[in-house]
Amino acid sequence: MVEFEGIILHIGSFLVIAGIYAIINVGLNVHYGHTGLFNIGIAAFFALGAYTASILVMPPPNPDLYQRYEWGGNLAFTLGSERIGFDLWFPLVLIAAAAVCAAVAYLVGSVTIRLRGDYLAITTLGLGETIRLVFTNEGWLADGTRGLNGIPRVMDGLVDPHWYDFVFLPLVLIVLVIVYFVSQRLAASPWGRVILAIRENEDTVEMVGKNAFQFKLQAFAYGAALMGIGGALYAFAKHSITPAAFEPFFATFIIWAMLILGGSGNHRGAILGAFVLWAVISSSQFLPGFLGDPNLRLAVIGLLIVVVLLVRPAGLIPETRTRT
Amino acid sequence: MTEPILQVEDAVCAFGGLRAVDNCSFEVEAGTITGLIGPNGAGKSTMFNLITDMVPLQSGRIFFDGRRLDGIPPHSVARRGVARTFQIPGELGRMTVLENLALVPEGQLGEAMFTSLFAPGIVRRQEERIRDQAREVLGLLQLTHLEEELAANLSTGQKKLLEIGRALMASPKLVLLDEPAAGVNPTLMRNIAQTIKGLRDERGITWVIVEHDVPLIMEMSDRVIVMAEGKVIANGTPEEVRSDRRVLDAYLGGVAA
Ligand SMILES: Nc1ncnc2c1ncn2[C@@H]1O[C@H](COP(=O)(O)OP(=O)(O)OP(=O)(O)O)[C@@H](O)[C@H]1O
Ligand SMILES: [Mg+2]
Repeated sequence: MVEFEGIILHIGSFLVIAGIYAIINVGLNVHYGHTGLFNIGIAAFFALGAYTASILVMPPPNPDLYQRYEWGGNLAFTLGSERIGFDLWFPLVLIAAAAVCAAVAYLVGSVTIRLRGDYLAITTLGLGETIRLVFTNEGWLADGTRGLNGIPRVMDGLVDPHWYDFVFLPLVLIVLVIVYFVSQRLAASPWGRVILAIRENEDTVEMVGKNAFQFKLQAFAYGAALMGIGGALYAFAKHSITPAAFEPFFATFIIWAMLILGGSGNHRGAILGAFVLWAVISSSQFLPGFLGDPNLRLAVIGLLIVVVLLVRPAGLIPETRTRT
Repeated sequence: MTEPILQVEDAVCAFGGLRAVDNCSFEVEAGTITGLIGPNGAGKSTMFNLITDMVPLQSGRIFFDGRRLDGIPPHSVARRGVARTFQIPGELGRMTVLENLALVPEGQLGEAMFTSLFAPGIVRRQEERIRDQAREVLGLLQLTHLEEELAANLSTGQKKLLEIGRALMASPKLVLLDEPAAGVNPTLMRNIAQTIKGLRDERGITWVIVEHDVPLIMEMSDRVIVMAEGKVIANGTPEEVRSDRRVLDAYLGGVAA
């Protein structure tokens, strides 16, 4: 019975994290799969979304306990559930995280997005590291390496904290569905057509009178906003965050692996890739003996991608262009 | 002579030590077809790149409709009414033929994210008109049966036709065609030449056409400009150019030899 409960709990936490990765991966698919922007600094927006959300809802720190840490917005308490029976702050915080990420992407993009291919990749990688180092070193902002703990949770106290994932899961899935439909509609619109055309041939896009730079900037900001929403959900799911959570491996490279595995260029593939790869990673701990070694996961992921790409070169769900 | 629609004054463009376009000047009258010919490496495509600001002009000036055209981004050149095709086709490979054309028209409301999300009805109605226009162009180019094909799967000749289609979708004032006939079935090309003349006469569209098929160019052009080694070496009516000594030496002579 205990074992059965353990499995159920594991599935709950698996679905929550996979759903969050799926949201971020739709953002990466907007960047790379559709626009062709080589962003390897996903961690920047992942972290920014998570910290924005946490700082907004954390209570102000007690000056007796902290030497440097000074911030905290208390939004969750101000707009708490007791007022209207639902945690009104929750959607507001997601929107704020998206807005901060979109704004940062817009500013950074306006100086870097003209760079082609690998140059843009290096600047985004740098941005990811910079954001992480800012949260590591600026203790007043979010308590440095110790990070933020006890982040207030949406609809807390509804069930035993032990089962909280099952309260949060429907919310993650609702956000994922909204993100999916909005992104799908954009991809199928004339806006999405320009975006795809930029990926195919930027000169052609310019020569038919479209300002490719402006469209790339919009796509960059939109994808970053989705990553920020994923980051915010991640902070609530984990209940605490530290800068170490946003190191490139788990916050950037895994997400790239998910996109390649699922099929770059279509949102369904991006979502499936997130669930499949996270299933593999999160269940590898149950493998017997040395197979359960966390260090072996890297090799397992690599092997999985190689095998899938050998069998299905365009990923699990290849990009299709049935509608125009 | 009426007002020229395009004026190139002392245009220079060098790649390292190579002066690909070396002090070129010429004018193009509105509502005419101008052939631009010359041997390989003469600087014809570079001239198109200068006019469309895809390559910066190092000195000289270019005017279109009386306004400076150099020093603005390519998309602004296009918005002023200049369309062009590429010598190496610039098709959008993983998009359908119809999408390649539907991309083009200006003023698409659905290009704003907000409108696409919140006013899909308006966007859809406009989209239907754009697709009808695209289908009309496909009919003209005899590509109707390939409407849903990915552009990457087209033959070289079909890609060339798609280039012309893209230029036609833009409702341009001036069209620059870079070797439109290469790889295209000659009978179809004669039809397209008729269409080009028709568009000149009915809509007053101005054409500048780079083409190695000299008989075709001589037949369809009102004027012919000849370039060699970056310089304009002749500029006149097809008859004048045909009998020009320098042209025979530099170009036609070279071909015959
Ligand atoms: N981007 C570039 N960088 C360096 N050299 C270039 C570039 N573009 C063109 N050139 C050179 O400039 C010269 C003129 O080239 P251009 O393409 O304009 O000739 P063209 O008249 O169009 O020839 P073709 O009939 O072969 O198309 C050539 O020597 C070419 O190699
Ligand atoms: Mg050329």
